[in-house]
Amino acid sequence: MDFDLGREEIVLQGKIKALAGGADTEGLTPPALKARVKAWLPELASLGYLALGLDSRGSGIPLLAAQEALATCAPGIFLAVETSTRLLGRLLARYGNEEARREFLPPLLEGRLLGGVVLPPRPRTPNDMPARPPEAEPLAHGVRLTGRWPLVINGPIADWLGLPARSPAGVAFYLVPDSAPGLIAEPAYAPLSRRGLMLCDIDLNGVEPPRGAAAGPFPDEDPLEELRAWEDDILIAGSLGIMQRCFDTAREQAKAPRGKRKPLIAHQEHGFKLAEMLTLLQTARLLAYRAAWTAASEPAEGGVLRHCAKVFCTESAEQVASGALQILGIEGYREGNPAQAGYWEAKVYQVAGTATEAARSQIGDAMLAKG
Amino acid sequence: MDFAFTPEQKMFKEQVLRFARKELAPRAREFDLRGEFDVEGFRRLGAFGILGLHFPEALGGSGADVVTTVLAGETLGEAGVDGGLMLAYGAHSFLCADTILAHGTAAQREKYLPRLASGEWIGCMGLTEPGAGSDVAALATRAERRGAHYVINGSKMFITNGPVADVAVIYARTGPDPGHAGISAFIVEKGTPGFTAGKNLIKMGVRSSHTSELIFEDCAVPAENLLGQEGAGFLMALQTVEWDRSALLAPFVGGMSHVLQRCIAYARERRQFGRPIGEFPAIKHKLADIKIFIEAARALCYRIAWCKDQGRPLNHLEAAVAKLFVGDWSLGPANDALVLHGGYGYCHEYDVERTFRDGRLAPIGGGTSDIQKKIIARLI
Repeated sequence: MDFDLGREEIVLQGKIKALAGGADTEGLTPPALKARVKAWLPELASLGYLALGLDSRGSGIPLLAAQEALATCAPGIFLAVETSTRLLGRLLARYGNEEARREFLPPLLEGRLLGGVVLPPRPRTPNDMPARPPEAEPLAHGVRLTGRWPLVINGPIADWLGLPARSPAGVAFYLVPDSAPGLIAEPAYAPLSRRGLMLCDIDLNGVEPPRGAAAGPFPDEDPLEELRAWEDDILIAGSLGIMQRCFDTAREQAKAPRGKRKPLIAHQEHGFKLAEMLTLLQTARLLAYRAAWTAASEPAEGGVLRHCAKVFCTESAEQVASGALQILGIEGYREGNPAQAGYWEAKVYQVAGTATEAARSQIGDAMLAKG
Repeated sequence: MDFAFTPEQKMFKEQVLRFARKELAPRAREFDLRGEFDVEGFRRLGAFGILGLHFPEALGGSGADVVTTVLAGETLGEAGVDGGLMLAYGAHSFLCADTILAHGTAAQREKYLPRLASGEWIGCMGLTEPGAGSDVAALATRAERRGAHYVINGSKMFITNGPVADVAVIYARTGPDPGHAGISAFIVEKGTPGFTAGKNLIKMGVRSSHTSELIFEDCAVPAENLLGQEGAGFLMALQTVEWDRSALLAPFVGGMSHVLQRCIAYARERRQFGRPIGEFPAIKHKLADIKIFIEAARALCYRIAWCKDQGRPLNHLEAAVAKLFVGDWSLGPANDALVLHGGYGYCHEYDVERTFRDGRLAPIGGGTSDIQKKIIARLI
């Protein structure tokens, strides 16, 4: 048993935090955010950040430690970077065919390519299925994709998109450039786009991917469940970042001198609120790291613990951000303040990935099955 | 980072689980209902080696590390051992015996620890007073040096094991200074003239753990019963916090695991509206919330235990965080467990109501939640 981060993990965290600056993305348009993210990617690549977890090395604790650092210091680009690397990049690394890995992984890992992806909903959530789920029609020389995907992550800013489509053999992922004929990207969802969360709907009107399936087809749900787990891991790490930023902002305000008056923290109601916030932050962090370690070391036990972490960390993030707003008063409510941004993001994190209600149901199902 | 137990710890856990389920858990309901201290159960804990688990072997213990000791506590809770018995064990081993282990002379250790480890003697710790609870520094019990004795006058309140203890570690003021300075610790044996225990206080929960006032009226204890140095008492009391925030919290967490198992069984068996209630999302969500609390709380206790094993100074902030979380955040899941069982959950036959009552102590005993918040706010 060991509760300390390793030296390498701490050093990498420090290097990531040292890059901070210029990561404020609130209010940026999609093109401006894309430019900001693409400026960061090579720097992160040079630290080895982009390669973490793409194979089994670096998964678990090292990955979470690095993600937490980026989510804390650069929240506006965190989701964009993670979607490109940890969702699309890892999909290609683990399940991509040789050609896709050879062509796309190097530029992804070097920070020269920004990817986007959409994860198909679980079959047991029919309400989440899109009205026109894309299908891959076999052609003599490839496939033709027709349909519509909502909620394409990084859709408005990606260079290449990893889009799933169903064929008789199962679900496969196809890599499509943002400029592909027949691909229509709807405007980015507002106001999410102003907060650095770039989502849009993608219409596929007879799009012919330049190459065959990049990954798959997958005849069953197993690899897709793994992708959804990766998505939850990103949101868990992001939640830790939200909590740390909100807590730090509130603490700084509470301890700031106020002339002849006592600082806010000297008033019990503020001090106690900060105490509750820190308790949630420390508890959530330990649970997140334990979940990450279990997923890497004892995969059979990892699923339930991951869902526990998803629920606890995202809901704690809302509470911590709410506490920060109370302490900061109207200042915390202003655009640009981490407290209001964190409060907003925390709600998104609760519904994204495995929504907290769904996660609770899955935890309950697992308990009832195992006894 | 590594959250794994060693193979030896896993094996030990299985042994404790088997022992506790067979020898202790079946007694829980009866002793809680009667509000009676389970002397036989306590002796069985001693015979199995739990009471002196972390003591050196030469003093009747097993030399276990802190993580293993915490694991034992959590496992007892998981087995369904009565919360009152576990509280008695905790006060005995960590608040009384460990203080003698940490600060006693060789003679004191040899005299008391083997008999405390075996359970032949029961220990308690007297710090809280009627006028000094959260404000520990306001303690007023005095010990005056008179020749070869210290004469103690004053009283202690809410002392776990008070009515049944053979040995007490008592904190009294020896110096003229107010506040934390000038507090010393003494070993006082049952039967010492001038030392009496009040009657058992009937409590909402942990009812088989007997709690009372301790009264000192010109109670003369031999000078060699001073623990450590004069004036060092407050620091000694502070050092028990490490155990309080790990080994004494762990049974609460383990107890919730036991309750979760009960809830799962009930959710599978109980049928309403033509199907097991476990099929309803509302029930699944309650199970999930209990599970989430358990998983969140466990790591906090073990972190403190592991740090103590590493020889690190107590991190008061982390200790307060652990106590605050386990105390305050356990109430919701305990309520969920009770409500999940419906009317049956309100009846004594079902363990959930006992756990609900027992768990209500967690935000109060050993330092209230508000005190933890005060500590955290001071250290932020």
